[in-house]
Amino acid sequence: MKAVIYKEFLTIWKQLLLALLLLLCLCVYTYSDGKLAIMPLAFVWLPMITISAVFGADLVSQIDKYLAASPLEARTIVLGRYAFIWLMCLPGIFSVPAISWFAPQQSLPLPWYAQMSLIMLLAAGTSAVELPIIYKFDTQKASVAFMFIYVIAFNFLLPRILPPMVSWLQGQSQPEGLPFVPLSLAGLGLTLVLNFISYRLSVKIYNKNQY
Amino acid sequence: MTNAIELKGIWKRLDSFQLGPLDMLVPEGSVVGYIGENGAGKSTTIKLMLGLMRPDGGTIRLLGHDTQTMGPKEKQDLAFVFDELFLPGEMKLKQAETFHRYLYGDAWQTETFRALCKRFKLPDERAIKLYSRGMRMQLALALALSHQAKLLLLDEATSGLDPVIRDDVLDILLEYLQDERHTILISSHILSDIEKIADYIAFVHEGRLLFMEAKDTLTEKYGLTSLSKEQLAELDPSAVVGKRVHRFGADVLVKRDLVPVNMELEKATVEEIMVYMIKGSR
Repeated sequence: MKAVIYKEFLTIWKQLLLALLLLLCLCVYTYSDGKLAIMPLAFVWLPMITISAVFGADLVSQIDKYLAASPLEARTIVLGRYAFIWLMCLPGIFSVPAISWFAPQQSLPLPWYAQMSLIMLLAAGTSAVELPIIYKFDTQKASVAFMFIYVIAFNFLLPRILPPMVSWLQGQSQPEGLPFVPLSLAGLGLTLVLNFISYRLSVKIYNKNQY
Repeated sequence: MTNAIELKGIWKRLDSFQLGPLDMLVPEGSVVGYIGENGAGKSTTIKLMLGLMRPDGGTIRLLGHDTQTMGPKEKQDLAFVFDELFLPGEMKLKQAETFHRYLYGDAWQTETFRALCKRFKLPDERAIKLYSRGMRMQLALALALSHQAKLLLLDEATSGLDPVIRDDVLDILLEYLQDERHTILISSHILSDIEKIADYIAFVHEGRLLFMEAKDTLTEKYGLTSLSKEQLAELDPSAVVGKRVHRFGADVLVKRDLVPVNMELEKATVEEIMVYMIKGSR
């Protein structure tokens, strides 16, 4: 699995660096604008960008032919990719406690663990949906499908759901009635279950590949 | 003697082409030259052995292990060189080495790899995508020979290489064979290379294995002669493997044991045997 993670870093480190630099600039901008709270959402893009980049790089090098003949088993190859994508979710997840610590005045009026759980669900959960689809279908076909999904989600659904939610939250002191701990654990649990199912599906799909 | 490769009833259907059923036994410590025209099934056979494809029927055993149930430890004993190096182009030499060290763990031999890279004069600081074809093949060979593999499979690895590099590659393969436990199966169109190195020749044509014989036996079995039309007509048809007809008669590849003992026959090269067999079947 180390070999796969090493290979992923090697092939896309430039794209990752650029993405991180852009996110950092966005951090500075949103901080100066007093809207740092939304930055974790921007980090959710990082695993999505990573997924496109790594599958694209593999298409060019055709390394799957090399790996299929190597001592690595299919489940290890797929696990390596999932592990790498999870690594890319970490900046978004840990940006939440970072914001709570360094700029608490700009943090959302939600417990940090609830925010972390939400970001984890968005980042790792979306990846869990994407990965088996890309393993199954051509990268380009999957990219077209995702583009439509994201356009609809980010241009139509989220602008209708998020502002009322944020307004409501900002208008509340922390409501004691809301069970944030169980909700956060449920979010974590859902993320883990989604990823487990996604991983098993991806291994099954990958095992069927012939070159 | 144990067999390094055992194919039993292997077959695979691909669109309008079917490979097999194929039976092949390759003794440990030998070199098999796997020859055939384009599209004959050489690459498909090697892909089936390495698990890049799944056979529709039959069994494959490599170094005593069924390929369907082979684990990572057993697969470490297999090495391969394809006609192209399927590694990320951004990798440099040191990164390729690190990647393979992670891939092969304790089996990886850093000193062997570095010695081979030095011998091939592979540049350290250049990305693989900027290597020439010859350099990529040399790197592929260095990677394949640096993890104590017992079986080496080469699929058109020397195609497109200049004679000097091909000679280097053949020298390295001969050194690899110094260990009697090492076995090589090499598919190539460059039959002069096969003749230099192979103990056995396996000839696949339109998905069928026409023969697998010791190279020396082949040249003793077949001979080339030029005959007039009348002489050709008098010859036992079963002795004729293939012929090239021209205005004055024909150049004929014959089975030595089925022609008159006083017939003058020239030694046929592997290439001639292959060409006459293919043309004879058309």
